[in-house]
Amino acid sequence: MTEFMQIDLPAMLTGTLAALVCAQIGNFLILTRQSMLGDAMGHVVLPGIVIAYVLTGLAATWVMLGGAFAAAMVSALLIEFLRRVARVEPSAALGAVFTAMFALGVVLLEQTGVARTSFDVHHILFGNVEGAIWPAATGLASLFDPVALKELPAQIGRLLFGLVVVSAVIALFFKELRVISFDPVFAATIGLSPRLFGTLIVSLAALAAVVSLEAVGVILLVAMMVCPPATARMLTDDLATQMRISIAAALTSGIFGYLIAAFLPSLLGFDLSLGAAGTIALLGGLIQLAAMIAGPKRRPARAV
Amino acid sequence: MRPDKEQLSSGAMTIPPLSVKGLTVAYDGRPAIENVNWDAPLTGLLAIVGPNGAGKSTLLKAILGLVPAAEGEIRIHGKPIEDARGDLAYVPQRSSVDWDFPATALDVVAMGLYRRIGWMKPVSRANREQARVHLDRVGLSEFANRQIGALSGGQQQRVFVARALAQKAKTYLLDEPFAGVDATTEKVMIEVFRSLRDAGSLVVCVHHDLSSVPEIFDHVLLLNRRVIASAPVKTAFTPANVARTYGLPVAG
Amino acid sequence: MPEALSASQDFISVLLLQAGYNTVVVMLGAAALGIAAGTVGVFAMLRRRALVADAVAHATLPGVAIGFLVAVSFGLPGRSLPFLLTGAAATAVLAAISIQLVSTRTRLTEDAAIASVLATFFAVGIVLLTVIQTLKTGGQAGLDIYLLGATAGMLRHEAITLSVFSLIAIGFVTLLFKELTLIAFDFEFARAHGFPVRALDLTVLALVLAVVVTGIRVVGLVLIVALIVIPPAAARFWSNHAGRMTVISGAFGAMSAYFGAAISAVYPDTPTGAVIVLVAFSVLLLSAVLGPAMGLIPRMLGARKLRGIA
Repeated sequence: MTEFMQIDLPAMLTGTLAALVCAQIGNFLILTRQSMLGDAMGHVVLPGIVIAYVLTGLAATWVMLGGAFAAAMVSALLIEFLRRVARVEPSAALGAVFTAMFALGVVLLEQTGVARTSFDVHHILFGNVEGAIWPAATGLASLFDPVALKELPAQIGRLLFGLVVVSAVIALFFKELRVISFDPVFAATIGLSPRLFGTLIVSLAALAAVVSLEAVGVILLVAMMVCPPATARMLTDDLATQMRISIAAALTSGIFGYLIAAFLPSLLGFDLSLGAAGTIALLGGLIQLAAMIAGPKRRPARAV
Repeated sequence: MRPDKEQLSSGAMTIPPLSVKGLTVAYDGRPAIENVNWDAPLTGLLAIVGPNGAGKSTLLKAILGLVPAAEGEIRIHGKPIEDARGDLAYVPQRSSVDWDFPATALDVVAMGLYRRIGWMKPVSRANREQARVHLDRVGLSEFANRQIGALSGGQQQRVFVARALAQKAKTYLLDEPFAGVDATTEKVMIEVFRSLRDAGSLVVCVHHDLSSVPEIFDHVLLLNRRVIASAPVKTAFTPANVARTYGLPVAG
Repeated sequence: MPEALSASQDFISVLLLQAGYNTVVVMLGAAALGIAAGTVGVFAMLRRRALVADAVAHATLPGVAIGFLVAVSFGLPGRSLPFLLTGAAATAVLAAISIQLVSTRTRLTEDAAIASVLATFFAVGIVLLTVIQTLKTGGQAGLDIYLLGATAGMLRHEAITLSVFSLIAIGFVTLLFKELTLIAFDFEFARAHGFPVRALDLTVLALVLAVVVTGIRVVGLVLIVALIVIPPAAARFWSNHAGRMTVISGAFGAMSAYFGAAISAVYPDTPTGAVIVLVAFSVLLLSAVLGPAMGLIPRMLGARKLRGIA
């Protein structure tokens, strides 16, 4: 039990919380046809995080958030510049900027020596869910022990912060986000600024990317922003229900994905290890595949 | 409270619902409409008529503040657009929305209530009942729970008209509401527009079918980048004016 | 300081192809890849395939892993190029088909199809990689280079194989240049005139796949899409003419890959792909400022000239 509390519980929490943060904002990304934005966000914030870390020597949440938002802003400006001034096709502009920012992040990681300390490129790409450990835990009682809770891995605190902000903003502005995603022109005529809410959606995606990136990696971030909402799209025509289903799919992927990664190989008698982030992402993809094959609402509306 | 002098002398009733002075709108430096001066009638059904590229949709969008005016001034019930959003309802031409969006007909109509529901408050059961009344007015109450993409083209158009009704605006702007719809939808929409007119509203439609103008509308605005004529159909919708609008040689 | 001096001397000798036969072959191979990516990229961009290219690039990871496992099971060294590239091509094609199926058969839009296929395939790749890490065979570390690319340790025959692949891709673009330009600039016109637009569209996709599979050894599967999208974007600033733009894009691709490979030959620790992408992006930024067709400075001068006339 102690081992479960020290090793498995924090890792499972990390993966599942990240899945929940990403899946919620993902609903609005796929409805506004910006699914690849999660991928882009996961890439562009890297140099910001590295620079902020090198400059301050701190891995505190606010430092990483600040660096990441600065990087996201720079990227947004570059993308706008390429699209507006250079008339570069939007997806190509996005692709050019996010690869360049990620390349910068990778070179900075190597050149500044950060790669050998806290995180390296592999963790950023593949995630390091297993890196979340809670040595202070002695058993179930630790969950109610404030001293032990203080020792929970920092990324869990960051993820909880992200989860609260993202959930609260979506709950408060649910109907505004719905009308903006469905019909931005109409939204403008009733005085809701599509630009403002577009920025809100992108900012929430950036926040989700920042709190998840170093904990679970780009791959889990992208998978959880797209797969649970896409699953829910196959099952319902009601946005509120879609949100609930996507949360359920994210929870399922997070919890069972971790359990499969941690325990399935040894249960089957193999001497192998499965990466938790990859397994969680893969489970999310498989759930989506099942929904795409059998979901009652999988077909597109007939062209009218 | 002291009564406003100006309001007393001019009388709020005579302020035109839409007033456009010297309006020029340009896309990429090319003017779509130039120096348009127009005061809309107080109530009635009004058709905006003109050839393709005459700037009909642009005029509506400029009034709604969706495209910026290069020059000129627009007043809605005497106010700038920012203060008059609640006075206007708009039905765009074949809305370019995602027809697979997870929204039912009732959800879409309820969006017309969002302004009055206010920020951060959820859509209540009472709001949904209000929306249902408007859906009923366009004859679609039995389709309330149908996903928006699963309706026919005409039914979708009626849902957007119902959403405009839910806005309880003073003035309604519609971009080609009759284009490509079935006979039932056309009949329902004409009835709805007439009842709005009878309740004192102005209903403005961009309209393509010249032959049906006299039978549906009371007023007409003939537009070809500039205003050619604007008056009741009987006086303005003359062969000579239509010919001028469409750039045809005027007979006689 | 002496160290920096010697590094810059190294760099110059590498650039001038005086750093030994292997390095020369690798650099010429990188340049050939750059030309192929830059020219194919023009059509990929105009046919809006940029993000599809990113997804299929990520989808090569499971293929590389499977290729490794198959090679090992045959008793061959895990990192033998033919196995890895065959695997990469197979899963990349599968991903391209999946994107097509998901975006046409379900209500998901293309962006969601691309993102979910990318995520799922990449996840399979990661899971397989973690499995491979725990296997008791050698050469696992060799798979890392497919993520962010490397020129260090590239064998002569590998470099030659990649160059030949790149030349074949360039040959296809040259032969079909007229037709590919037509569908890129006016798809409906091409269709109306009876060109086999579907086949041509598939050709563009196949060329993208070929560049991706060829490029992952040098640039890495995470960043190879950059070599497909950045040179055409940069070339756009230099010409409004499709043919010239394609040639310029190919030249920019070659320059970026050549200089990037040279830099990473001098600093073996830096991932080649990241360096190549940064060189390419610098070219893009310079083009945006200086490029005569749409660049900032020429445009400002042009605007002043216009005002002068008026």
